[in-house]
Amino acid sequence: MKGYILNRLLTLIPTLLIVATVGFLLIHLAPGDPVALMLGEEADLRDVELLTRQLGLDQPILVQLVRWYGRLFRGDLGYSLFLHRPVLTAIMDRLECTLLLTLYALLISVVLGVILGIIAAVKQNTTIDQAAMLVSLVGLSMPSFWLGLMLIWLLALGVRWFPSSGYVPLAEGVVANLRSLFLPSLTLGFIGAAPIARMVRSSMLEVLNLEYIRTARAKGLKERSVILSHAFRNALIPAVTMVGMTVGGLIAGAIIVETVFALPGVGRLVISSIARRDFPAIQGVLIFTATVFVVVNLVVDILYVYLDPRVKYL
Amino acid sequence: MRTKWRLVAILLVVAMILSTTSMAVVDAAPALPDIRGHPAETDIRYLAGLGVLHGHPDGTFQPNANLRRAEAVKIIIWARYGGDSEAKALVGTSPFTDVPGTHWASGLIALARNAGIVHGHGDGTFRPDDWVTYDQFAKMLVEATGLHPAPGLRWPDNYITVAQTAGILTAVRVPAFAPGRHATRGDAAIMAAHAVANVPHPISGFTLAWSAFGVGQPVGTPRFGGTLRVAIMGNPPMLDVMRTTATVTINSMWHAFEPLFTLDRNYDPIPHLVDTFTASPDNMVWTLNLRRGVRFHDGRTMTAEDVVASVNRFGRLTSWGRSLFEITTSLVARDRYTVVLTLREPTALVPRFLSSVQASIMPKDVIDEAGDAMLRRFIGTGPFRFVEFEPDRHIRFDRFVDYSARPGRPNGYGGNRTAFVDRILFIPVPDTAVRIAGVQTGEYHVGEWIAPDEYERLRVMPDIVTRIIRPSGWPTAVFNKREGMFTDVRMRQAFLAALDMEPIMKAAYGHPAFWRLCHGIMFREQALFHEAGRQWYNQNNPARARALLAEAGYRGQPVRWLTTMEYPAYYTISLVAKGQLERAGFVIDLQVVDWATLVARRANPALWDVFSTAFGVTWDPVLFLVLSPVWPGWYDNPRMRDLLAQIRRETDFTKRHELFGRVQALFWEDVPAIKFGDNFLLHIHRREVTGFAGMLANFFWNVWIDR
Repeated sequence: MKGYILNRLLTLIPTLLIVATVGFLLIHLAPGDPVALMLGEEADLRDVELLTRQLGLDQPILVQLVRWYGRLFRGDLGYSLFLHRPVLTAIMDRLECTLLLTLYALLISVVLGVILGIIAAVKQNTTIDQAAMLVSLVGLSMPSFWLGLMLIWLLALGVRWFPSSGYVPLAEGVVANLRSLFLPSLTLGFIGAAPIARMVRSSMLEVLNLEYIRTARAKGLKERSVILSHAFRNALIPAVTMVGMTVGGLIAGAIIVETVFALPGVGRLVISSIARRDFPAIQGVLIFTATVFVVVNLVVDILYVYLDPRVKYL
Repeated sequence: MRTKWRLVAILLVVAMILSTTSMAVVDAAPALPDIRGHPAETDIRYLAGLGVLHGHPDGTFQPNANLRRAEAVKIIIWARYGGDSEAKALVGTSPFTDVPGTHWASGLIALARNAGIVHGHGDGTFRPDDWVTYDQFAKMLVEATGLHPAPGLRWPDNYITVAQTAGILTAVRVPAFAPGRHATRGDAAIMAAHAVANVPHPISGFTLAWSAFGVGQPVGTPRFGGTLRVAIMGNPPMLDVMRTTATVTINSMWHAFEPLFTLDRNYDPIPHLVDTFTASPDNMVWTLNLRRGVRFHDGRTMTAEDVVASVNRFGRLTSWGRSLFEITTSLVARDRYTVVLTLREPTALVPRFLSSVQASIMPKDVIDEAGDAMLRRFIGTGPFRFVEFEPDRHIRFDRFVDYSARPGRPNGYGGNRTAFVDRILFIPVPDTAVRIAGVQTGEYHVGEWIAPDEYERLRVMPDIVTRIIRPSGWPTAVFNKREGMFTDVRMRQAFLAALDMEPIMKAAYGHPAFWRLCHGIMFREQALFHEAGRQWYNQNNPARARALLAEAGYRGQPVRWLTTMEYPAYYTISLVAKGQLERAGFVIDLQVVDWATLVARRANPALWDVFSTAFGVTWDPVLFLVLSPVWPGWYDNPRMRDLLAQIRRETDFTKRHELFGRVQALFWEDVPAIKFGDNFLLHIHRREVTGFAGMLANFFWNVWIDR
């Protein structure tokens, strides 16, 4: 097991190297100039030239790539062009917001998805089943920015229970933090719940038709315990894979939700860095996100071992 | 600390009251013997003192006689503008069918009509010699004070209700006020005096007495304290005001940084950190005497050395600065508080150049440490000091307690500046709907750059004040004059001839309150505005375009037009124009890219023929980017260069205006770029935020939060 984990962690190195190189080349080969954006519309071409030189952006792309590798091996993600700070600091500043947002959203997704999925499976082919699946279909098809705006309209402007935008750090109070993240988490969580509900429903249906469930019922167990402790546990494995994939989806979804709700998170950093061609920031976030993805996948794989004793890694 | 501020507030109020009494110009008022003892006497004398009422040539006022509609308009214009210089410019125009250009009040009535104060009778007539009624006069006063008619009511109730609430009508002590009754001259004076002295403008909070005559005080007592939260579109790309020209940076950082000059309420330069200045008769040697004891945010005192260092950096790193330094021989500190600027070619524009926020004054060591690279510390002299920039969270400014305010009154961007709020947070909120929602719920006090589509919905909300920033800019398409087909002037003229501007502007900006058709490259509101070249704007003449294309030998090579969806108006304009151009025989290849790509490509003349952008307000013809050989598009016409050099040297307004007319005529004949029209911006703020000066750029000194 330890060997397996070590092995997986070692594969992280070539993965990141590929991500770094491909990412760097893609960003630099795409058209776009950060310098003109930094200087504003009324700067003339002499200003653009001077700043390009000062930032080293006039160097050949290979020279820039080698410099970027050099810094990367020293653990330095570079200095953002627009944010007045090192990229790593910028990411760390924003991590709390994005982590909490994804965490809350994940909780909502899992709870909502699992409940909907179980109910739909147990009440298969009834109106309840159809209703539950309709909700998840809506979740699958609805764009998150639209859902976000609707929630703002209903719960922030209508009844004024939650703020419409902005982020309150955890250090300034747990309740205030939860309030500021509730609407974005609900937006993100609702959309993440849909695939989980569908997966839970189908794997529950599969399990419910197996013989051991019939046996469990035959021996007179309560339906509740048949479903929760016998069927659900076994239906969980595909669902966990789904949850692992949902985390990836949530991080991607955070880009939009953070922009709509004006949250200072990593997602918004990605989108604004791309729009402004903040090369060091884009590259840094790319490396960072790739690392997170690989690690989350590893955690999910390890979780299997505990959920299903038949799974063994050597 | 609190008591200290209370003391400052009290002193301020006392100063305002004292200055009020000293500024009343009672001595110059006519004698008017026939008003003695009349109920309107005080009000008539008040208005006569301001110059609003003039009385009859025989020295009488005849307070019980009636008032003609043209005379009523004269009173209104004087009350609204503090004079009739704006109206004089319009003398000779015929605003209504029954007001010929020869009518003695043609200019006054035309101005009143342009300003929306009068609308005429619906049949195109004004009937200037009819007697004015109480309700008609009340309406004119309501419009002149900036109030709006009550929605949902019909004439005259919509105006009467508002006039009564504002106290304009209730000030008249006639028992039986009835709509349609002719107003007496005495009652008109009472109503007008009340409107001038007591009715605050709904946006600025200032009375006409204050804004037009500089007397009295803004209604409402300024209140210290609170955090002002301003929702803006995005993060500033850079904090160094001397290096970036980005509006987000300038509009936030200018709370902390101040230049030597700034702009008054007519957008003319006035001294700010400079106390007084003199120019030699030939305009070659400029001596700037600095204000003494002005403190930087780090506690040090500003001296001539700091000014020399700052202005030199401005001269190296900005395009405005380079324009000034091209003709500068030396800039030296003569003593601790005097700076001397010597030129090799005369110009009257020195205060104009040095009023740029990019020419802000910072301590010498901060400037030296940064050199031509980025500033590392942000220390200025402004009423607020820069505290921190947390990207996507806020840019924070706190009140600078040792701020050295300029004595006197506020005047435009200049004069006295007071930091009433403790703190300003500029919060980037990218989505316009979320900025609106935040202002509605009170999370933000101010929302900038609101989509015009929301205007009708927002203007009726009781908690929200809408502000149209007029003018704001002009959208344009710039030609590549270095390479490709548009090096031929006939091609550019053909492009211009094919365009019909109205559908273009309508599609791009929607609501008619946010755009207008205009050929002027200086706006209608600017003193240099000129009619020259008007005939070339908005030709909508595909036949002429075709003829010009044939003459230029155009054979359907695709026109590469760079545009972007990041600014939806630019995209819409290019799309509508494409249709019109193709009808005239052009082949248009719209290259829709993101803004970062557009600004990168346009620097390379091989990659494009036309690109979309927009220009803001340009303060002087010599500062037009689109006429510059070092800005994308590379316009290099010796005739234009010569005209601009002349205008830079010329100091006489009439001659400058005439020269600018030639610049504009050449612009439209030579077509370095297309001007599509004027567009306006929408800002909103909560009603409890008050003290706005109603200038083109938002600032939050002198602004307070009422509770």
